Amino acid sequence: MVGIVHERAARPSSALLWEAELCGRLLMGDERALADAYDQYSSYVYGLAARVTADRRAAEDVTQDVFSHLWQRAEQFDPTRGSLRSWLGVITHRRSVDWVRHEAAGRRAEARHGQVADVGTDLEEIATSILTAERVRAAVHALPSEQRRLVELTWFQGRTYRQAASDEGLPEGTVKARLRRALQTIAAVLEDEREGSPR
Amino acid sequence: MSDHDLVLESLAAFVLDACEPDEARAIEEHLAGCTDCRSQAGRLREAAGWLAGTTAAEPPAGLRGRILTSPPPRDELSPPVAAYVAETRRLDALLEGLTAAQWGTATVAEGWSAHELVAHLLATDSLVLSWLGGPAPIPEREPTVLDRTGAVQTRHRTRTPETTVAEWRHVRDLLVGTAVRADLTMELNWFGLPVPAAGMMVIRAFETWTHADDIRMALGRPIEPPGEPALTVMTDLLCQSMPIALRLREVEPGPVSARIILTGPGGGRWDVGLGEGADPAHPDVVLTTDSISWCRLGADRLRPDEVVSVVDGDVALAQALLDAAPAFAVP
Repeated sequence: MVGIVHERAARPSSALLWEAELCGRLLMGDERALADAYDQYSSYVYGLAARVTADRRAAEDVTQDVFSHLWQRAEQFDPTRGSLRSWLGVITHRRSVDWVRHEAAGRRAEARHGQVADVGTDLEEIATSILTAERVRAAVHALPSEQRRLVELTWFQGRTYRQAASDEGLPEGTVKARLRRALQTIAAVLEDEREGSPR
Repeated sequence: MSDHDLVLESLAAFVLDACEPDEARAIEEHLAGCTDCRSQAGRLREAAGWLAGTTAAEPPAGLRGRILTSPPPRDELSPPVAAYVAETRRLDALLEGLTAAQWGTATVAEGWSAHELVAHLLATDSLVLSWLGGPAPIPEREPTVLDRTGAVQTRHRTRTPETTVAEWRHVRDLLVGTAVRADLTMELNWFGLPVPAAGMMVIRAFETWTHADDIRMALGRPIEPPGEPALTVMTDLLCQSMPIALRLREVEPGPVSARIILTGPGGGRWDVGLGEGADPAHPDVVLTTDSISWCRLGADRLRPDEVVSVVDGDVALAQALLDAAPAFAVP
């Protein structure tokens, strides 16, 4: 598929430039840059927040926080060290997990217990990097189920590795090692993706 | 926890936000001092970030408006970067809607047309962008301002001025993003002179303003002073650099010093030692003029004899200062 090969080769460096320029515009106080960022990443940010918090209202608050943070602290994003998407993902996730742990810990824990969603079933179209997201999704699917289960518990449900170890009746060291293997697999997929590109 | 292996073992849990707060803090401390773990953490964090891409969902329609209508106030940029932003914005506005004939008008800057002048700014800004370690959007490899200017002007001769402006804006945005994160004490080389990155951004603001006025003059419009944020850092840079300006003009003033008083916005008082052993507390001359004339002189857009000044003390020294002030003016 020629089209896909072409897109893979061209995307990363132009994405880096787009993100770096966006960051400059945000720093100059250009409100249209915030609108562009929102249009590009809101479904990603909101989707992750909704998934982790399992609460619409909380997901909206987290999304608002994340874009406010981008607006006020764009200088903290370094385009040469990673993608804006990933940076926003980290912030979104941390805020969502904070919400889960502090504001609704007891209340929600019961409701969620035992109903582990199938990671990646609700992938929607993302304007850019659909291909990468697609490959990550496939890679998550291909993880050994014991690794996937722990990624689900920690990343998507906001459990600490200690809680996950106790949930699953596993030694903590095993949980940490499995999480590490899982992320290294994903990281390797991303690195293959970037091979031959300037990024 | 300070043990390197223990940190490595917990790194995946850490980037997944799955460590207890105490442990997360200990890991953060370790990362601050350990390059290996930091690069591992970066790699894993990027992977974790992409996990999120598998859950995209449209937010409710009202949220966009809520976020965009009242964004919270932003932190201020550092003065050198703010000066560059302000002056490039003013140039931006000036370039809006010029006619083909206006784009072709020759300016006092090397006789370049307005279009060629923007290509020159594009070339210089892109060069500074690469010096500061920013992403390079244009393929030119020329390492000097003049070579790159020639290359960019040649490439843009067959393009529309709007294309050149768009490319310049793109570079400007990248340069702002890069300069904000850069170490502004980093030493750069400007036509053979060592200049810290902060001073380089002031020079960029200075040159942007100067060339904006060049275009205004070519169009028969009144020239304009720089905005106050730029004036403040421009006057300071120029006054502090007077010892170097004298050296560039091969003036050996001896152990003398000058007080430069600039009136108007961006003005102030500078006591500057001009030679070895000078005592700035006891100036040999007091030179008073207005800040805007001082900047036009520095840009070589006013001749020393066109500057209205008041001199108290060593008249010859004052003349040497006025003669040397344009020493930094480059195309």
